[in-house]
Amino acid sequence: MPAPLLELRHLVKSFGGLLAVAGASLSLEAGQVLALIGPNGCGKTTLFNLVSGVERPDAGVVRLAGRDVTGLPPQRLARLGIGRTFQVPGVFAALSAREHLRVAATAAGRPLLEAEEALERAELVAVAEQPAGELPHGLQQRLELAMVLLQRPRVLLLDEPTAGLEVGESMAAAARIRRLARETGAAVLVVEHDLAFVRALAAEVAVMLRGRVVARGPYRVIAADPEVRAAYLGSRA
Amino acid sequence: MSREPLLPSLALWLALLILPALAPGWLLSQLAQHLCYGLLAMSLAWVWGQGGLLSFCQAVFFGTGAYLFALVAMGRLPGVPDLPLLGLVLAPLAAGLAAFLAGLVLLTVRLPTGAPWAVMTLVLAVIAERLAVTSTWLGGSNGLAGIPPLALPLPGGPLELVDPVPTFLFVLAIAASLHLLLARLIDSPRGALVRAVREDPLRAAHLGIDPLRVRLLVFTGAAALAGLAGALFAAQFGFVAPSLLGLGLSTEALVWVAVGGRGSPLAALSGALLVKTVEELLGAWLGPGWPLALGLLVVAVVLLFPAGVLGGLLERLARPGRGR
Repeated sequence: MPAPLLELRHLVKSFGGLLAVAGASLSLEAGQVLALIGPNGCGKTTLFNLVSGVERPDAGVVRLAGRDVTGLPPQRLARLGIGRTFQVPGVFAALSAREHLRVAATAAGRPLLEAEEALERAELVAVAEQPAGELPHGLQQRLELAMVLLQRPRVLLLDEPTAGLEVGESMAAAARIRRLARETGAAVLVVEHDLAFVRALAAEVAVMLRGRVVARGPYRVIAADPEVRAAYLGSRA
Repeated sequence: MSREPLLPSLALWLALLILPALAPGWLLSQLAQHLCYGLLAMSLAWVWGQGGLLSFCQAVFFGTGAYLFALVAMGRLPGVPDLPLLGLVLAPLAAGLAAFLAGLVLLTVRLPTGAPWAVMTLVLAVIAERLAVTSTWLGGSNGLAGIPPLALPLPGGPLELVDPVPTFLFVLAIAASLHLLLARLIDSPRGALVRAVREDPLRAAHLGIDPLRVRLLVFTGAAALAGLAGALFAAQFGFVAPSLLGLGLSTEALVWVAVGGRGSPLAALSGALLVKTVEELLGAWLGPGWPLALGLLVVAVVLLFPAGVLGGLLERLARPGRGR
């Protein structure tokens, strides 16, 4: 059996006395979309930071297509194919949209023509020369994703892609993410709060509680799980 | 802010080009020296405005270039022929190497942001000046005098750059070409990459960019530019002293760039020309009051034109109501 594309084994990370991630394990196959849910402070963001190289785990292993990539810096992981977006869209405020995509193409060693194509595909041509800091939230998100996609990531980490979006927009975003995974074959891990969005994503769901992944399955099953309901869904009702 | 507008650049270089036909020799000599300061300002605009690395040590590299030129031209470097032109070539390399080594230490010790970074560059400037003062090889606090001028190997025999007109034109040609090169670099995708690291190093890293490497490259490149400016300065002035590599000149350069505008090399260079010219005009009249007047000018500029006097204007020129 081939190794999963992304495999996290018993990851541990503590800050001072606080155990943020307490032995979390997770695996993703190519083309798979997995939604990671859990209450605030359950360690989702820290887990993302461990996988994308922002933080080094205290213990545990991160494997990318079977290769141990634990603790590598973000730029190495990015070159190996781990792309991510941020909750607050990670754009360079003073740079124009076109410059963003040119930077991303240059960093990924791709011709500038691809930057222009990405600009068109993301429907950002009309605002190509505006500083990204002046763009509305939704466009910033689109720009960030277009930039990450120029890397042709094998693993895509999306941190709350619906933050700041309206309901209709987030449904469209769910469809876009599904299509993305299908077309590029990337494994997509989505951290999300919005359960309506998670349902629309029609993907597998993993639940994180107190620094561990405690359950995984189709949305329907997860939503019916009494423990999950009590700990997470119930607390939000 | 990021784009270097073509028309104002052309206007400045053309205006300077016809100046020898109109201006007296002493003014040309003075302007040729101020153009060297302008190049120093350009290098600072690159490392500070583009790279986001506020540097209190840019004169260290200007001074390194000036001293290296003096040492080569005076035959004080063992094993190196005393050719001034060779000094002009070696100066940026030496300044770049100095910055690379200093940057390797400074940039890896701490992420170059905010006050700690700025203080470390300030310390570097103080150390460099002390080293020059205490070194007998470098002439101590007296510096080195009697540096021979540049000599251009022309078909009709070598042309010594002593007269104001050829000296001015030579410096002008170098300054204009370097400005063109830097402007092209800043407008290129690699130039945008430098700004991306300035805006958000972590985001840049997630795109596969090594922020440390980009910063080290910019720090080194800007230092090489400052080193060349220093060599050109020493070749005209005929004299180098420790103040050329110290905190004083470094801070002065920050003033020029803040007044002109740090977003664009052209604005920074014009800022240097402007402040130095005003200083020549008002300095004699104000006497010891000049630093005070300059200080007030800086405060006014920072409050009224955060992007610099020329930087603000250029920004408006570069985006004439596009899309609004």
